[in-house]
Formats: sequence, C-alpha cells, structure tokens
Amino acid sequence: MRLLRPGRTVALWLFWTTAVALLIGVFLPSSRSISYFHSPGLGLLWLLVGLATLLCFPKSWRRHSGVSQGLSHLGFVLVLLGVLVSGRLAKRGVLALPEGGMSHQILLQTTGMQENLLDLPSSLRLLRFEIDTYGPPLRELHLLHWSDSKQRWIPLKTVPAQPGEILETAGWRIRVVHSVDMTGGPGESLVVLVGPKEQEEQRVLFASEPHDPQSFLAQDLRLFYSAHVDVKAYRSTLQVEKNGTQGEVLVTEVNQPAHWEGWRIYQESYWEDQGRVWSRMEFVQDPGVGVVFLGYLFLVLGGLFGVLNGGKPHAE
Amino acid sequence: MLNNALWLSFWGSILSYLVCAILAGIQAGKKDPRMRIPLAFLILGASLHGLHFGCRWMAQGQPPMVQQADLFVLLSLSAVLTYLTAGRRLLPSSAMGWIALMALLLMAWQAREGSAVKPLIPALRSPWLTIHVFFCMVAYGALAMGSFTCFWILLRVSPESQQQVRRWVPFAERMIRIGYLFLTLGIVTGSIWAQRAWGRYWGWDPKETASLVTWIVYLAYLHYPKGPRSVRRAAFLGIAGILCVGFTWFGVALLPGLHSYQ
Repeated sequence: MRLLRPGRTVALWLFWTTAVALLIGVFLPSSRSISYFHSPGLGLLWLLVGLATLLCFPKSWRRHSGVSQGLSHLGFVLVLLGVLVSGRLAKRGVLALPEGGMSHQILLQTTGMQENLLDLPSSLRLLRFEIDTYGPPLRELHLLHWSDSKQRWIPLKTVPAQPGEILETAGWRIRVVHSVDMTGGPGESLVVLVGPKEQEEQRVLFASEPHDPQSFLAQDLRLFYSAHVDVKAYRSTLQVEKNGTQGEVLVTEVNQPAHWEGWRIYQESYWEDQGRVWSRMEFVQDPGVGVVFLGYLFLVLGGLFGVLNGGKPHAE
Repeated sequence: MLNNALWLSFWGSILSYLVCAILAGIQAGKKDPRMRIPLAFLILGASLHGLHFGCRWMAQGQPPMVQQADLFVLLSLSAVLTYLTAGRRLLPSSAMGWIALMALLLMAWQAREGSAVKPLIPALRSPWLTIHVFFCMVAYGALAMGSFTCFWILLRVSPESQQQVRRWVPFAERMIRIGYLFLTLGIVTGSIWAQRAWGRYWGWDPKETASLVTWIVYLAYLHYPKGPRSVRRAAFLGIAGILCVGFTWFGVALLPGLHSYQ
C-alpha cells in the first residue's frame, strides 16, 4: 500500500525541487544569482508550484481545517501573482545628482540589464544633501608591518590621532602634532617623525585605504591615518521645478521614501567626488506590491487559523 | 547601577541554567517526574535572562537585535519560555536539562563576543527591526522546540514507546505550526521593511532565500502525514527544518548580502 496519496507526492516533490533550486542560488556569486533567480527555468518551477497550489485549493477548502489551508493556498497564489505583475509592469530607475544639480530624466533599469532614459513629469533639483552622524569622527594613527607570509599589512600599534600621542617602534618615534577636521570629513593629521638616525621630519597624513597605506617609514613599516565616522542617517531634499516655476519640496531618507506623481523615491547611497557630494536615489513604480502584500495577509491569516484550529497532523 | 544589573543578571542566569542542567541530569529517571528543584532553577534562570535582555536594551539605547550575541540572548530566552509554557507538560522530564544546557551555551556566547556596541547603520534605524527580529526569534524558538521533539520521536520509535510517541507527535506539530506562523510573520515583516527601505520586497539576498528554503521545508513537514508508518520520515523533515534554520543563521552569515551587518 502506498504511503502517500498521489497529490501529496507531487506536492512534496515540488517542495523539494523548489528548496534545492533555491539553495543552489544561495551559493552563487551575487553577480550571477539575480539572473539565476530570474531565469525561465525557475519561473517555470514557480508556475508549476502555483498551479499545484491552485489545484489543491478546492479540495483543501472542503477539509476540516479548510479555512487555514484555503487561506494559505490563496495567499501563496496571490504572492506569486503579485511577483508576476511586478516582473512585468514594475518600473525602476536611478537618479544621481550633486548638490544643486537638476535632471528631468532617470536611468531606467530593466531585468535584461538594458538601460534607457525615462522622462519624469517635472525636473528635480537636489537642494541639499545632509548626513547625520552619531558623533565626531574617530581618528586613529596605526603603525602597520608588512607580513611576507600573509602578503598584507598587519597592524602593530594604534593610538588616537590627538596632539601629544606617541608611537614608538624599531627605532622610530612618531608624535602627533595636530589633527584637522574638514567639515565632518576625515580631515588630516600632522605628525613629527623621528627616525633611527635621529633625523626629524614633519609629515601630513591623509586618510587612505587600509590595504594600501600611503605614508611609509621604511620598506616594511608604514604609518596609516584613519578617520571613521558612524553615519546615523542621510537625506536628500529635492525641489520640483516645471517650466521655470518651483513646485513642492520632497525629502527622501533611508526608510522614509518620498511619494511623487505615482513614483516612490528611495534614498540609496551617496559619495564624494572632487569636493562635491552626490546623492543616488532610486525611483520605483510597482503595481504588484499591493497584490503581494494582500497575499501576505492571507498567508498570515492561514497560519493563524492553523494554530487556532489546533492543527491536527495529516492522516496517512 | 545598570552595569551591575547587567553583570548580575548575566551570571545569575548562567549559574541558574548550570544548576538546572546538573540537577536535571542527576534526577533523570528518578522518582520525582516533575523535577521541581531543577524547574525552579530554570524559572529563576529565565527570569534573570529576561531581566538581562531588558538591561541590554537600556544599556545600548537601541533594540539589542543586531549583533550575534544579542540574538543568541533572545533566541535562548524564546526557547526556554516556549519550553516552560508549552513543552514542559508533554516532553519527557529529562528534556529540561538539555534545554537549560542549550540556553547556558547560547548565553555564554556573549562573554566570548564582548559587549562592544556598534551604532545602527541607517538602514537598520526603523521600528521594523524590532518587529522583524522579534518574530524571527519567536519562530526559531518554537521551531527548535518542535524539531527537538522530532529528534526525541526518532530516538523512541519502538513498539514499547508508541504510547509516548503518540503524545509527542501532536505536540511537535503544534510547535512547528506556531513556529511556522511566526516564521511567515518574520519573512513578511522583513519583506515589508525591505520595500520601505530599498523599494523592493524581495531581493534574493542569501539570507532571504535561505529563510524561504526553511519555510518550504517546514511547509513540507506540515503537509507530510504523521500516521504510525510515516511518523519517522516526518520527524526527519522536522530535523531538516532546524538544520535549515542553523544554515540561515550561521552558514549564510559567511556569504555577502544585505544581512551581513555583523
């Protein structure tokens, strides 16, 4: 006698296939994983899972715990449907502006990795970009030693980059004279180096990459200045402009997107280039979100009914 | 004051769990099936554990839900509370010692990690952090209890212990149903948060995908029949589920992605 009914066997095979297919994607490098998850093969698998869930729906609704299973199945199908709508109809584009810069176009991204420009209803000017920090930058002076075996710079000693702090090693004596803060940025640090032969030299250190310390003392000994600041929040303030007239002001921040003309504007990232701060924002129109969230609601309700009903195990 | 409370609650809970585990080990198989003294130590440990979590929240000035040590504190508290509220009446009394030992080891982890607090990055500064992590931790606690029972079922599937197994199967089912509900809530709240923070409800981040795999494995468990002939295979599925939870937590932490904050 068979242990499982045919329908359940199919369902379990689909579960396993989906779980294994997803697990493969977890181990792929991020550059390949997105195209893998959007591949036609996985799409077909989700279609099969959706169809199987739909076929189970009438049967599950008639059972003792039908409400729970029916809601869960309906929720799952709605989520898949919402994902399909998102995949077909969602628009997603990016806009990068320096402070004071203006644009009426965004760079549209499609899943095929093609990029097109899309006109916005009005122009947007980045009025200002603000960064909130948890406190002043933490400035430190590090002495690094080159390790032949590890083929990288290894920290030997670290002191705060404050006037009077001293680092000593292998005949070298380094004294911090002062550190300068440049408008909340990393700034610079002036140090006096006294070498093994008592030669004295003043040097200004700028923050650089830890894997490539610029200031050297000797062939295998380098001095590295770092300034670390913990960013709390960052936001862009945008001015809508149309035909020379100024419209509303939009503020977008991480976790607080702005809404404008059917678009949601998300603060993505920022960077500094030649003394100017650039803000990168993402513009999204996705009609599938509502359907997916409705599916979520049914899934949660189905799970809740499953718990409240007592959730008896399936019979053989 | 707060530092003293942190220190006392941490070591107090560790000591209580240790005493509970030792006494439960000694008393296993003896006359008192309720194990009143180890139970008292487990309750004391859980109370101090809860106090310690509250103190960590106050000391950090932010929800202690980002660093590995913080999550271990919450997960072990969730597992102990699930055992005390639901598992104690149905699971064999010797399970108490194992639960206390697990809580002890997870709590002790933070002594290894230290107490340095990293400020929250902008993406994590959201009320969804607390909601999402809370649901996930409650889910993991309940799923751990359900899978632990599945492990027990596997050990005891023999003709003479069918009576006990018949009691544990519905318990494992119930725990996994509760865990599955909270796991769904965890995934859903994470997805809503991602939509709010990045404008996409799903990004195929390794942790997201691994938690979806966990969800599917437990879904397979819930769909699997649990009659006398299939109970063993279903128990294997329950154990596979908790292995997926472990992979989602530890294995994926080694891969780059949106969740690699730690």
